[in-house]
Amino acid sequence: MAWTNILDADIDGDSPIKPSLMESLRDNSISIANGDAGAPQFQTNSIEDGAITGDKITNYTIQPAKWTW
Amino acid sequence: MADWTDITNAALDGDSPGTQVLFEALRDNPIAIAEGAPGAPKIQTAGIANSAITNDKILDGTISPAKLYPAAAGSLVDCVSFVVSATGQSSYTKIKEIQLVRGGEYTISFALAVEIARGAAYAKIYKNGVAVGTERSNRTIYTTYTETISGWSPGDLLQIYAYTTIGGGSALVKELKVKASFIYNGNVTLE
Repeated sequence: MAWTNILDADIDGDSPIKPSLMESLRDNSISIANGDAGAPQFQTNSIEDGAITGDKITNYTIQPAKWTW
Repeated sequence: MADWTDITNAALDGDSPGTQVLFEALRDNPIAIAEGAPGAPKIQTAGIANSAITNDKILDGTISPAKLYPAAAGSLVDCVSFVVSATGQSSYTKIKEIQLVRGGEYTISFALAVEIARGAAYAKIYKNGVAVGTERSNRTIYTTYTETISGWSPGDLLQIYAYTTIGGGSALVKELKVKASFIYNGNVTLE
């Protein structure tokens, strides 16, 4: 599922509501979750503190550089 | 929590009305994704910016040893058993044991000696009770043997089994060192 940029001109008051626009509105949120090319990625501020539990972290992935006191 | 709603293509075609239900779904679905509502697509790795997961984002007490990057052969001492362990048994007997935190590959060394030079001491590295190392034998004072062994898993028991032949007294093993290319604990840099 690809990310689609929606232009301001596509959603102004003079533009028709096209099926393609509606599909983009539906699919873009899924595209963000999937990390599709061009889609915005989740940044630190968008992730709740403590939301990442051990199950969410791939085995054998925490390197020493990530260690802190 | 917002509910996730599947929106069909038919609901979006040119002949379908823009209903309140449809626009509510378009409004609520991104929220449902963020909140992890049932049925909503989950955030995949590619959806998270590199380095976005900071320490604050990780729940305390949640990183198990299995999450740690595996060890690789090296020269930094990850764990050591200095004391002399001895056995006078005539068949392989466990005399040292270390429980590993990380899996991976380690460089392992130990010093082996025989108590009385008329006999010989034998020793070998075991993993969870199964031999994985090279058999070492010595008829004299302490000699250090080193080898690299891979295939370790978090929580594995790294063991030294030893025995001695008739006339040898005890087989003596000391300075069992488990070494890796990087370690999480402190490293002695001057002594």
